[in-house]
Amino acid sequence: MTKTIALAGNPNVGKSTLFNALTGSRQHVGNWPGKTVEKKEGRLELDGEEVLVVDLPGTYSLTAYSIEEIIARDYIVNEKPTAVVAVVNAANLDRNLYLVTQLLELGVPAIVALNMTDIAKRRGLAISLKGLSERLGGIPVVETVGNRSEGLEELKKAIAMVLERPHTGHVQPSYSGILGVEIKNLEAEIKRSGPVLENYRPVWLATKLLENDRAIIADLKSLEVEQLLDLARQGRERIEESTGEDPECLIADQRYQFIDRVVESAVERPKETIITRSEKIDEVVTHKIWGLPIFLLLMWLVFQFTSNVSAPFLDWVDVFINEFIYKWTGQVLELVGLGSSWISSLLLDGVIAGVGGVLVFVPVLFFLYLALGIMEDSGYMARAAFVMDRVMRWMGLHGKSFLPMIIGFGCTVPAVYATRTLDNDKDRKLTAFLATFMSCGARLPVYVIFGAAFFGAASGTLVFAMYVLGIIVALITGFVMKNTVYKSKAPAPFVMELPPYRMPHPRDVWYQMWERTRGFLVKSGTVILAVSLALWLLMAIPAHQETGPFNQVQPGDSLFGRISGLLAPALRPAGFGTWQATGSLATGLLAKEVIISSMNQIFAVESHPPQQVITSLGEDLLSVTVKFGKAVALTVQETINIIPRTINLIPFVDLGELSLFPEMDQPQEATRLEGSLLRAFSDSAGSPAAGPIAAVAFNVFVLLYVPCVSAVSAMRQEFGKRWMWAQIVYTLTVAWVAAVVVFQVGKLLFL
Amino acid sequence: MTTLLKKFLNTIEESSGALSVQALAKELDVTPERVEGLVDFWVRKGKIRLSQASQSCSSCGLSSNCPFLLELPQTYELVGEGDDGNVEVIQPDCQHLY
Repeated sequence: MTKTIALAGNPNVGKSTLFNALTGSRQHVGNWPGKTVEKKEGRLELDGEEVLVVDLPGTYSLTAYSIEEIIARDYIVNEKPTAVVAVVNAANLDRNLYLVTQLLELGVPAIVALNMTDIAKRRGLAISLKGLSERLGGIPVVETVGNRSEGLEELKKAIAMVLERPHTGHVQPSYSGILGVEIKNLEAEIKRSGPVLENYRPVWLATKLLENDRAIIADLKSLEVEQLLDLARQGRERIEESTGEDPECLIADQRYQFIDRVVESAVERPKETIITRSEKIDEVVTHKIWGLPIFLLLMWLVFQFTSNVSAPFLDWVDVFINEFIYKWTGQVLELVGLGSSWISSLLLDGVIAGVGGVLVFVPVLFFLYLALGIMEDSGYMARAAFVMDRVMRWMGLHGKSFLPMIIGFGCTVPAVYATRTLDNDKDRKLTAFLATFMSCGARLPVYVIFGAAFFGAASGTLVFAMYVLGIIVALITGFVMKNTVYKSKAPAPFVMELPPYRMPHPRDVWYQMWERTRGFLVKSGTVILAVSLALWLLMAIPAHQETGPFNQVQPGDSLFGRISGLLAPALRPAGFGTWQATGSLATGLLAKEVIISSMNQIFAVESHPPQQVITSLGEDLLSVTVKFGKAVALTVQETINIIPRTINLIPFVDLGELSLFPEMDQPQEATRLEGSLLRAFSDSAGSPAAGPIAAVAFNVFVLLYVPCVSAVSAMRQEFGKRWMWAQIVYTLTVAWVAAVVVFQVGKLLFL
Repeated sequence: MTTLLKKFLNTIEESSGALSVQALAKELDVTPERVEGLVDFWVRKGKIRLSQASQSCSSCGLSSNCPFLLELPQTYELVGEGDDGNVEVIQPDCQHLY
């Protein structure tokens, strides 16, 4: 008869890796009979004998609460494998030994494969294999690192030994007090029942009956052992009466006490673990008072980093696309005789100005995702949610609501779906509502271009202010709604897993940064390209015949210009009531980055082509390369300058900044779009001095007005049409009021 | 006589705000791994509910590479009345335009 070993273990302990290492390609994958849970079997050759290896579903316990637990338990009890290999995470014995304890109670011959020992060692845990084996009643304990196939031969030897001489652990939790008495009573009754219960180990069955294990009780009912079931019920009642506790809790509690004794004698922990180091950092970072200022300071640093460090590359990409690519595409079109055709206009003013205008921001997003990646990988992001929980509670909101809101910093769409983590429907709707005010990554290019045009080196502060304003508006909205239309009981407390801090892993951070930037590039090649082409067409079509022929019309007289102009007066009180700003905001409903691509297209058509010095392709290539080198040097300079800029936040401190190219410290010439924005907003605001105020008002409007169609559609799908329209009206109203207040109050204060 | 399992539930119930696993472990004088074990027990019993934003997106084609999904911590909370206590893992049916 073929001998069988079963692999048991908690989920994610490397059980499947060990199974693959043991069985190689000799595997069969199917389903457990009558279940949809995958069953994996394989063959292992030991000393010339073939052994069947069965991979049991990953479980934390052998109770009957989940299908995986029932499958694993039924297999061990009914199929009686020759031995069970318990795969255990060496770095988490406290949790993993609970299953091993239950295997000992079952009385099955067992081997412990102490897996992930590399991680345990890194955490400074010294585990005595001999001590552990002794404490577990002498069952073999073997050290393995599954993903490196380390310890595999030792494991095979241990399996061969147990198959030769099946050995069960001679120990198990010693149940004390009334629990021990009742287990003994039932054990005696089980033994008296004779062969009908011979499939079960008496002490294990007694424990299960006192745990009120429904699956076991259902099985016994068919065996006509009513007296035993009655005794078990009475036993449970006596335990509850005597201790006031559920017998199942008492049994679990005594298992934990047994595990404590095993771990205490077999594991040596370092005096200072990574966890305690993390705790020390958390004492400051998640402190009741300091936690929030630290969170804000880190956000400020992220946006300084994003705006200022990326600026040299942003300028370089701008020169590369809007001067080099634009110029030489024009030259090629001239050469093939299409210089003044509509195709030339479509390519230069539609595709390059539109898509190129957004691609300029790739460095900005690249650096934003780098900063976010470092925060995520270091373990800080979880702390941000934890710190904000207090603020949320002050406002009467559920602390968990901030989790979807943090996702909203990336994109509003998954943030809306992430509200499903909240079980209260009112909290879900409210949180989705608030998440739309979190500034998503797509809005960042708008702040960056306006920051660079109007505030120069202080552009990072504008970006930071926009993100903080989004949080403040969300909190105020939440506070008002929670105390008016959405009154509900106080939020329930919850527990959050805070991963230990660690040095960010460059490969992981790079991967996240690249994947996120790639998503942006894909979007540029699809949605933004489509919108750019549509916008070019609308700007080429004259509103009336007399305003000029197709593609030769002034932008303001085009179909797009005239329609946008109808809505523009509504935005005049906010200082940007022009058709250009209104039209860009309208296209931004499709995706927020489109605001910038639209502006680039509008102003590209409006402005005359820049006066270009005649240069050869070689000279242009050399110039672009030299500028790239300068951009690299300036990026290093700006990274270093974050330090004095941060220290300069302290009042009366003014440290100098590094300057690699002093000649560049003079105000730089604005890019074409920046120059156009400066002129357009100064005109719409009434004076050059009011221009920056109108620019801030415009950014506030972009932050707060209706999110993109994808987010609106997600709101509709999750909460229905009514809620979607309520959100559209509310966000438009809040955005308009806030922009008007910023412009009017700003004028009063600064002019 | 109060078991560790009961103390665990009482500590969460009596908390005035969010608790970290580490803080809870300190309060109960056990390791954070033991707290995870206690959570396992109460999740099985349906008294504690786990939730975590999924790390993969079901329909937009980017799956776990969705640039906008952030890795967020798992949270546990007491199951209220009428709640089935099932683990909820969010699978956003994303409608990104790419």
